[in-house]
Amino acid sequence: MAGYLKDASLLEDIACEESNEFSIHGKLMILLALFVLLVLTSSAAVVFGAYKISITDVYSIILSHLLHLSEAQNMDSLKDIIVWDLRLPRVLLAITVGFALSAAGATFQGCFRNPLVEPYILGISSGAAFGAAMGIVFHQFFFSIQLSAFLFGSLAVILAYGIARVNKETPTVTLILAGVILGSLFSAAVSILKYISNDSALREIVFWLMGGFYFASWSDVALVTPVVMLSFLAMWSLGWKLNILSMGDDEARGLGVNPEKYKLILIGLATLMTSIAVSTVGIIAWVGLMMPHATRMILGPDHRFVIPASAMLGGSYLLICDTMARTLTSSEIPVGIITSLLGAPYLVYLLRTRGKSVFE
Amino acid sequence: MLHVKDLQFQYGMQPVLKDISFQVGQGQLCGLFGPNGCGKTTLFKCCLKFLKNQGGQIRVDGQDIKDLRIEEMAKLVAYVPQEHKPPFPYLVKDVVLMGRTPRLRSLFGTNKEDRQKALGALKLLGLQEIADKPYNQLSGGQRQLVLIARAVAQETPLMFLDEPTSALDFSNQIRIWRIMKQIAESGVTILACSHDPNHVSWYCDRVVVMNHNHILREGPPQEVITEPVLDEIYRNVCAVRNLDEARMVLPKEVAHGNGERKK
Repeated sequence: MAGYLKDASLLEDIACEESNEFSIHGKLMILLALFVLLVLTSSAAVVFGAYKISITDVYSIILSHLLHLSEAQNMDSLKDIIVWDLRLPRVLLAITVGFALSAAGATFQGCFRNPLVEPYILGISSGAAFGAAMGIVFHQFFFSIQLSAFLFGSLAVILAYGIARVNKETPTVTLILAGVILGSLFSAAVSILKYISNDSALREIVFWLMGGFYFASWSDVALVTPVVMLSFLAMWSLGWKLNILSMGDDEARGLGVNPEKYKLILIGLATLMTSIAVSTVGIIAWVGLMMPHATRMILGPDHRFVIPASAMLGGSYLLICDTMARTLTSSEIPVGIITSLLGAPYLVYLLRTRGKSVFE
Repeated sequence: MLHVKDLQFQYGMQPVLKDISFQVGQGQLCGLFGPNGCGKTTLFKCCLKFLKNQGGQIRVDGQDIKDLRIEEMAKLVAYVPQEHKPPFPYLVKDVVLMGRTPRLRSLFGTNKEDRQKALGALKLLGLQEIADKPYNQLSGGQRQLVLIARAVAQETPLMFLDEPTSALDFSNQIRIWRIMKQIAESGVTILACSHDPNHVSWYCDRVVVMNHNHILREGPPQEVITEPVLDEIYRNVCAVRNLDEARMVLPKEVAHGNGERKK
């Protein structure tokens, strides 16, 4: 290994003083700021609602639950139910789903080296929609709508991977094409189910497809949040590897990162997060596409920072949208409609102002 | 440092490499020269283990690459691809820092030593001034230099460059060759593809000439870049002249046709 030692001297001759050139201080401050934003929006979101409850009441209810004070001390069981059983799980679920979609979006974009990819790219959403529709129409055969949505969402991705895999390799283009094929296949299947279903089932399918947090409960939070947060942490720890993967397969190999292995892990984690989120709250568009973009504009493309930042931004964003969805009108607007209404102008703005630098 | 013996490779039934054998010693700058479609890139990819050869043996630093994992390969061989645009605007310094990946100990990031090595590589190639620019907004020549800096930061005994000068202007081409020479003199073994017979004869210690999926000639450039060899691969295109110390490869009509031009 003499050559390698001599090579080391090549770099030592010009040894550099450690400078601030790789400073990550600013980016850490932005992460901290986003965390503060998330805490502030969630504290605000539990206070807003159709039923007026004063800020002090809201926080005394939450505190009494957290500190396990006896029920007798609570002044009003109605307020208690609204804050603790309705609003709080809903807030937590909105944050979780925002985390899942945004972190998964950032990961898919990095793996596929394409900033226009969204978490539903491999047909998860249409697979899950089909699963949910099956669960609704043939409810006697399916254990739960959520489970069948989750299974079909994951199945879509596994099929896409299977179709795209040729000669032990999974080229990005074929993978995305396979996703498109499966997406249209499952959409057609959903249309068939809509066609044959009765009025109430049809209404349920349509509502499911629009996505929303209407029925958020503690059991949803208990199921979804741990899975999403653990996958998120695993994904975050692979942030540097994702940077390498986004340079392309051959370069990743040259830099000692096995592209097949790490793409499989990362896509697997992103799929798990997305399908469990979709199966619980339905299809919520735009978040997974927009948040990674916005994040890259704030702190650059390094995935070690993009993943956590876009997750926290997505959590806050979805929380704001959901709070608007349940407070703007006397009845509820599906949150998917609000994310789309806010998302489309944002993308137009992106395209018009910084089109080239963002999309090339 | 690099030993290739009886290498075979085929895509389906189409043979791409037949009985390839050559070796490159430590600290040598070796050029891989040949016409389009002769199998250079495939040979490259086999040596990097991006493609699996069907027969023969490739040894790097005495080890058969068949037994090496991707992570281990990356500590021995650095790969400089043809310049390209990545989809995300990574900063130049971050791209160079990626070269430290095979040596990262922690799961999450780089330590002080890695950052110093990356800065050292930037300095070696004179890139300090563009260190904070987005890599995908640079010119082709600058991107190529950044990729070489990344390979230097990788600190491998062997470096492979895939047509490093193909998209560059003349002064940048010469600059890249000089830098490769300098890196080789520090003890790193370099294998570089090139389409320019002059470049390889001016700068390389050794040249491997490929034609039709096999090796035509191999040796020092003055023995290998000759008129008969060039005639065999390019069919009556080139003439070779000596200008004082330097050897020049010229198109035949330029070498012979001065009279015609006067008319």
